[in-house]
Amino acid sequence: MPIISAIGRKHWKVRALFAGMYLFLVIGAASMVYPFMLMLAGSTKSAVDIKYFEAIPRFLYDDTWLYRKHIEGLFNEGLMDENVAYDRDDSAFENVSPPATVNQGLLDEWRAFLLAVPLPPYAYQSGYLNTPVSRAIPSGLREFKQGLMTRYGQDIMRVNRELGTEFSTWNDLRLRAVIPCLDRRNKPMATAFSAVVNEFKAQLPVGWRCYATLDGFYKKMYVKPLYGNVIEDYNRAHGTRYGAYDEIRLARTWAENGTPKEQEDWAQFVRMTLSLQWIRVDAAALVEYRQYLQAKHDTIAILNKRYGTSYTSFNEAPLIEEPPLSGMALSDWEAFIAGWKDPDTKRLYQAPIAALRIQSLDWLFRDYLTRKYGSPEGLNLRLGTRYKTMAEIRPPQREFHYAWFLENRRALRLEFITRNYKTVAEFILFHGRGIINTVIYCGLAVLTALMVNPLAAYALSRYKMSSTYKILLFLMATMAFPPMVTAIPNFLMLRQLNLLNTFAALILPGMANGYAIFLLKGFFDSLPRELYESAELDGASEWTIFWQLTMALSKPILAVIALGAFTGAYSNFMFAFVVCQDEKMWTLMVWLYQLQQMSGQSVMYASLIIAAIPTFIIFLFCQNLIMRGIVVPSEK
Amino acid sequence: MAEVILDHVWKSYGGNLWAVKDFNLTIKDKEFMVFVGPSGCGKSTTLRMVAGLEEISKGSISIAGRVVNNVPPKDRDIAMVFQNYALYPHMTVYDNMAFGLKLRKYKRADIESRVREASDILGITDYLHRKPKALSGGQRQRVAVGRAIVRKPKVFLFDEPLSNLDAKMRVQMRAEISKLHVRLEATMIYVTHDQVEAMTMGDRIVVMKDGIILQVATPLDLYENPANLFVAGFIGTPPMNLFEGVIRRAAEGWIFDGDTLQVALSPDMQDKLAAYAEKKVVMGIRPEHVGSPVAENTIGAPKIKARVDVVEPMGAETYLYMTAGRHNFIAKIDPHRRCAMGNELQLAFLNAKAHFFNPDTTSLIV
Repeated sequence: MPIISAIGRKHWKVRALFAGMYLFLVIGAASMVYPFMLMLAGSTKSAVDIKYFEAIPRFLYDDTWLYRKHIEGLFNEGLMDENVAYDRDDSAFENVSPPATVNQGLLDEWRAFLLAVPLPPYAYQSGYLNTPVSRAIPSGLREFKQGLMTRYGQDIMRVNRELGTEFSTWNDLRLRAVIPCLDRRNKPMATAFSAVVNEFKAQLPVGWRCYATLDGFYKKMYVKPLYGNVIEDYNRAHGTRYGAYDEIRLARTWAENGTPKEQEDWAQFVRMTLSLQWIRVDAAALVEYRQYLQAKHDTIAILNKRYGTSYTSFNEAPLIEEPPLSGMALSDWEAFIAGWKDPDTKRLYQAPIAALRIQSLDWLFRDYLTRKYGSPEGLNLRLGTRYKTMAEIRPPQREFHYAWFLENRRALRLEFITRNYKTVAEFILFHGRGIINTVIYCGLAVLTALMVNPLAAYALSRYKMSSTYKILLFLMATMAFPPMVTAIPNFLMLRQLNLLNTFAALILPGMANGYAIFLLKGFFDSLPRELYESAELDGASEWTIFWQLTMALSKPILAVIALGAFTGAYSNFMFAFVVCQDEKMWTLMVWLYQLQQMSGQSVMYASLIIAAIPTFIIFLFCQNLIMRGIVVPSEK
Repeated sequence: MAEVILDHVWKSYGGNLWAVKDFNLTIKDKEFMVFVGPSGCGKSTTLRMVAGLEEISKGSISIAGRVVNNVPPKDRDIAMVFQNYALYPHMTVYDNMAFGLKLRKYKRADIESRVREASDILGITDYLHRKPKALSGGQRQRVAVGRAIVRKPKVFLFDEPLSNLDAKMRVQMRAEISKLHVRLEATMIYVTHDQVEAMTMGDRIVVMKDGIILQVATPLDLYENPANLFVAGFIGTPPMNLFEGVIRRAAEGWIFDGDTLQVALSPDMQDKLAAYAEKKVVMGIRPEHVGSPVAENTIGAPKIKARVDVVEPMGAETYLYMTAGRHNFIAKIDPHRRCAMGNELQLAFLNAKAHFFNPDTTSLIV
């Protein structure tokens, strides 16, 4: 008796059985779909959320997580930059949270300030230019590359020639995007390439800009490493009474910077650490400076030669306002700020500490507000703030970024969803031969599989040779060897035949397939003998019988063979890599492997999903044929 | 003229096992020849040798005066209809019929007219654009026949073409093939294991067993004068009744003595059978000669007594399954005659129609 008969369906045992079966199927389906969902979700992630395995990525429904991803992208995955720019102590991007309150008035003033005061390109860095942790290609970098391509064509070598860079491929092109020029070692560059980068940065959204502000940098990079993270320790060392690090501001001048110990910090920081771009020297230092130049260069002629100037005496040499980006003048200036000891006279030449002044973005903004409102009281009155001094005001960058974020959440989600896919697509497209090689390889593999295997199977099926059984046994035996075992002998043979790095090397080893021949022979055997006899009587030639009869009747099984050949060729990585080591012959899988080597996990997920699409499409369109081939048809 | 001559044809599939042994037969032009016999008797093999699908081990076959031993099937000018139709499943009915013509490079219009003609004859014009899968068994076999006739071959070969059809369709197709034979005026060789088909269709019938021809004769001749025990038992439904016994001279004259059944011999047979006195023979008599109105009305026909086991009324007649001691036999009686199961019945035995066979050689004595 069958387990489930039409009679007795309503009995509770049968119902329970049905329920159990459905439950089992649902669990089975879920166990298939869930990992796929994880994969899809994983392909949308970046460093901040990659460690969370979930079917639906949290940034899709949680704005806080979207914000975190955005901040991560904004600071090019550099947590230090975020802490410096915001003057905060966030331990990771996943702990970052949006500002609790936003002073709209102050924010508007910041916007107005950015428009009103011309700032050099090194004053800010743009977001979405680099992902050193996630190792994907963010939209800024993508646009930059596209810009270069429209300007210089597809040839990366032309870019190298004209911009003096050394990228070997487009995929090597990366931008080193950190908040620039606060540390003295990070000097702004004056190369042709950086000019192009600066030009590009300027046209990116203003909301992506991260400005170099000083207080955060001072505390994070100078004070805290020296005195520790606890404010009490700082207070003890400096004789101050700050309630928190947040209250500390770096004064504009040495004299204004609080206690003597704090002044000492200021002097050390400004002389040695702070980038020259943000230091100005008062006229009081002019005499010292000229003496310094003379001590260093002896005669004005030498100076002129070295500086490329035409002064008649050292008294004509002016103080430098904004330091040059390179050359002797820069190193001289740097030595003057830091202090230079004449090796002959042992005299120390140095810009007097009282003449030094900080001209950072923070102070430019504060000056701007002072010009506009006169005093903190005026400002407080208008903007509803509670500043005691102008020095307390901090540029509202965090609020500024947050405001931009709120307006662009949709675009950001799209960016994060598509970013890794675009990275993969671009990688493949920029390696033109990858796709075309795969198409040719798969096409030829299918074609040869459909030619060689049926012919062999037909011969075995139609002509009863005494050795048929032995041949079949041999074919079966070929299935016993895993491809890894045959790879090396195949490689050696192909090398002897001088076929490495050709399509022949890819196709020949897999052309005849023991399993396919076996399968086809079985199928051909099942076709009625009378059909062949009838065709013979009808006057059909052997080829007609093979082609018009046997092949025409075997379409489903041929579809299975073709599908097998296609997936075999398409997913062939190791062997394709071994026999075609020339980059020009690499297939898609080899390229994807290369991509995975240089990319993060989420890009890898995306690449796997993209790689699955062709097989998926083929199955989608041919599923009826394939199903019929699997459930071998019976012709009545 | 499409005479088919099989001259000392032998067939072996290797070894000393002969599927067909010394087959000699001349099939006349326009003759409908039926090969009949039980499965494995070599009838299909013989047909396939004529078709060229099997090699001939010894002897020769000629069609229309040409020895075709080494002629490939397509050049023998024959057409064959198979038991399982062997239609090309992926082609429409039209293409199935046109396939052979296309391969022989006929002109398109010619193909068209031939297919139309054949499909009109067979009444399948409406299905020309269907695939075989969408047809019933009878329609498929018509297509198979159509595929044979479009080529207008000299010889048609049928290999049990009706075996896959249901009983009713078989009767109908039987008549159609017979009509077709008249209409086409072609030589036809028809293989069947069904003696009814053989009797109803054939001009002549070849009865085969174990690769040997037992008898070649017209249907009626075969029925009335079976050459041996096998033919006697094989041809006719219900089959001929066979009794084992001895020929003996009794007080009333020569009799056939089967212990529990004794029958006086017909006077005209006595001479021949006298030679078998006290020897074992097999007596055969058709059911319609026992208890039938003809037998009952024949003066001088001996009577036999037997018990009725089963009564099978067929309408036009009634079959009685009888037992007389160790002998079982069937009688075909008048349907109006009253009889009941288990009763003893006396039946007239038309001994003039009886046949006697030698049980050792199985051949007919008289």
